[in-house]
Amino acid sequence: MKRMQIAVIYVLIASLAVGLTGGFMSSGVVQDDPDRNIVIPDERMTELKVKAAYNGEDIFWRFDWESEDGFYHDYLVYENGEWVQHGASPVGPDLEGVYEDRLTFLIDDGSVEHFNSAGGFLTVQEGMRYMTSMADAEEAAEHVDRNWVRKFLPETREDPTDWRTVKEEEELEKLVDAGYFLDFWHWRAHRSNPVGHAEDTHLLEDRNADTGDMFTTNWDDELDQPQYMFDPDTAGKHAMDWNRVLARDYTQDDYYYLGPDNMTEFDPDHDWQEGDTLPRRPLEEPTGSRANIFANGVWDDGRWNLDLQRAMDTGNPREDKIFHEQGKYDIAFAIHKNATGTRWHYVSFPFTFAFEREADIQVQKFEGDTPPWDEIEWETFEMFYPGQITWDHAINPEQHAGAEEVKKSTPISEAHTEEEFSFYGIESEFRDEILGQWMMTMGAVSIFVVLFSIGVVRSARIERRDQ
Amino acid sequence: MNSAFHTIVVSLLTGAFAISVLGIVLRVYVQNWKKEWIPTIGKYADFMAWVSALTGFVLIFAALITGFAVWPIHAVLNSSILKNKIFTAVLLLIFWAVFLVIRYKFRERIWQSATLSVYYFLLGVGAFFWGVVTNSIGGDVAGNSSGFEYIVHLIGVDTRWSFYLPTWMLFILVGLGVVAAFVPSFFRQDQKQAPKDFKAKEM
Repeated sequence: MKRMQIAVIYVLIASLAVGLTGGFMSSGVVQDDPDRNIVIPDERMTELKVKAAYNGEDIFWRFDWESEDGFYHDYLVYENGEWVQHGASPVGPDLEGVYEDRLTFLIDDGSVEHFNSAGGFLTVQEGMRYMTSMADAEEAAEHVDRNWVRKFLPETREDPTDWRTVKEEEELEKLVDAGYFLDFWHWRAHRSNPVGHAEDTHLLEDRNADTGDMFTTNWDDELDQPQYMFDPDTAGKHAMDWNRVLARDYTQDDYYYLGPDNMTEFDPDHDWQEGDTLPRRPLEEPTGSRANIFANGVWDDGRWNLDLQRAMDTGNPREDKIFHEQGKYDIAFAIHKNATGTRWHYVSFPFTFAFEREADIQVQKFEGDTPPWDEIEWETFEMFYPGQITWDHAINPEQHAGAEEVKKSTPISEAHTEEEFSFYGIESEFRDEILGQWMMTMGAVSIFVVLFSIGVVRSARIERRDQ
Repeated sequence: MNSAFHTIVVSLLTGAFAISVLGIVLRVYVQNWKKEWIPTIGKYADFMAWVSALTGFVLIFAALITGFAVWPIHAVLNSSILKNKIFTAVLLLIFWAVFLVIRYKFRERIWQSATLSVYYFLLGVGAFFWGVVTNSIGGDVAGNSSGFEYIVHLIGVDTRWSFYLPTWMLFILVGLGVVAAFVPSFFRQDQKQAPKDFKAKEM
């Protein structure tokens, strides 16, 4: 009888240990730490649906993804007699939800080494904005003419992993001559979509807007007041109402933005009321190469449906990748949603798209002006939160077991899945903490097994007594 | 070092442990259903299990050495999946170490005790399957996941996160181990009355 009692006790102890271990495994370390620029998103992954077509002149893209109503962005609110900015690029999501959704993608024609295998990871380095290792503002200003460092291509630096070592302008121009830049399509739910465009940019030593204008900042430094307000004659109001913004009461059919069709010069003599709200990013009529991409994004029932269109040959080969029939190109997507900016986005692995050739995305040829979208199948891509995995880490054999494969341009998808990366991305933000906890856990589990075994062996004598 | 060396060593140790498990299963069969075979097949099966386990145990160290020769230690410690491989390998080492210590102390007399024989059997078979999980995580590292690593998903553990527990949980785990070690002490009277002949030193 005693033997049975003891057996039951050991089964209970073992079950409790296994159950608790399983229940609490990999917990207790990953948590938000804004002081180190760490905020972990609730969702690790999301999906993006894509289809593409061309008619010989233009390429057309159609996208579909799940999102909240992310067309609110960056407002000036009249509070206690002053205009106060709400909505900025914060660490993690903007808590008032006034930061726009974005869909962006990088395109290459084979000129940028490793982009076809590593995608956007090629452009991520230590020191970038809101990394834990974010560069000091003064030092950044000294080297990159801005208070923070943005993504860049490795060959634009004397030391490819050091953001400070930007090459001379002449050398950068030669890189562009050789096609060493990425075309960077940048659709913004607030700052470009209302005027029917995506922002056309390109990536070299920085994220550079193509030549032209698209939006500005609604602030007059000299007068210390906004520059523009709604034109009551066309917009039917002087300002939005902050409470309605917070209640997400404005739809895409309302004026939630300032644009060429609805704004006028700011009138300081107007009887401004508490909570009056003006968009901080007035849109201009897009011009130049920056306006190459036409866009129509509609948010409905929790999803964005977005159409983009651009000339296959924009005539700007130093800012855009020119597409050719029978051409095959590399592409990597990113989505910003849930009122986030900078590195809080979801990214894809690199894929290919091609005209009349085998690729991950077949760009279907059609006759006319409007693609037969219903006849084209969606391609669905897994997107994941990338954490703080840098290019330096990926190619350093001391830090990454697969570094040699990365250097050989082995496609990332051959070694990892997107879901795996969604785990690795988060762990990349807690490497030291996880390592310490992992070692202690290994020790504790080993001690448990040894002590448990000692107990079982000791109990064997009681079995003899029973007999 | 070429990773093939590591793969070869791991294959050897897995084979050694497989032979060991075969020996244990054979001995359990003989012990319970063919008692007349105990002095012959039973004895040899037990010896086979012991020698094979010892061989596999030594080869675990060889596998650790070849594994660390393939990937630099810092690279290993930066990878959740490689850390998990080490974690499971260390636990595998502990399982087989306990298995061997029990066999060393009690030798064939293990089979006279239901408690010990059941635990010895479970340790051997459990450690073998734990080895399969370990190897499968290794396969995942090499890009050839067999899927056996998902066995641990059954208890809520995801092999893509590093294996670690919150500190308070570590105390509970060690505490449970201490309780397990001292459970027999709660039955001290029974222990004192037990026949001396089961004490390992006197056997």
